Amino acid sequence: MKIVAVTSCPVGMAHTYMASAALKDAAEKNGVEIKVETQGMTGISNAITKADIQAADAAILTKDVVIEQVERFDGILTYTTTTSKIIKNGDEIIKETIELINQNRSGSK
Amino acid sequence: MNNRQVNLNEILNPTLIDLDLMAHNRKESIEALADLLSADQRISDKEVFIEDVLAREAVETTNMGIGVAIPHGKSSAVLRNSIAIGRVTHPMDWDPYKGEKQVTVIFLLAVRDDAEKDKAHLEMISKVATLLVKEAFLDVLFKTNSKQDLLENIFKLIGE
Repeated sequence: MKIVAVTSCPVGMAHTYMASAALKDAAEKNGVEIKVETQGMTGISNAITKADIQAADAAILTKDVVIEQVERFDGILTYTTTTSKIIKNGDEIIKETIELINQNRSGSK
Repeated sequence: MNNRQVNLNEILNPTLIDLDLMAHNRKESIEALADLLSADQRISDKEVFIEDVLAREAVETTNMGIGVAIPHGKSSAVLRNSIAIGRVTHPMDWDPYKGEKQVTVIFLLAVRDDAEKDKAHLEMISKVATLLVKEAFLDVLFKTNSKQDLLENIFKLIGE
């Protein structure tokens, strides 16, 4: 199972990076692979590529501010949330995303 | 300049930490920490800086719901990019957001208006902020009675 994610916040100094760290920790704990792109004051880091999206089962996107190039994720299962929720409870966000992926899989069979 | 080596001690030092911060609410906390920044000549105008910090608070609370608030100001009053850390004895409401988890520790992030020019400092500040999602770090942050111990933990965890 592979998840891609983009985190972004109004100032791009703290929330973006805290959410990224929280997602990585929670993904590791739940045994799923994750790649997180950060869109902060210093620009985009660890950019999610087309190939990343093709290989992914779902995307977690934050909605604190409009993320750049959000159309990249048009064809993929998407879980939308906020950086605050991720920081408070990254584990729950990852678990819910896994559940979404599983539902989607069983639904398409 | 973007890729230059940055030392954490350029943005954080013992004079910017107060583990017995005298504050009972958001405004007092920000003011008390701004005093530390001012005393270390890191901001030029306390009032302007506080106004900018409160403007960010107005967009969305910086109470992270984990016992920590991270007010931040990108402000023309900032002379040197900095982090000030305060801890209060009694957890407080981070007004006006009552109902959220109460706040015990405050990380006040201060960056210059032209901070984008110096990515290295911003990256260092972001890196320190990410420690706040690590339980092992929160444990030290809430319990230690030594600034030096806290600083050593921050240095160790960000790999310096």
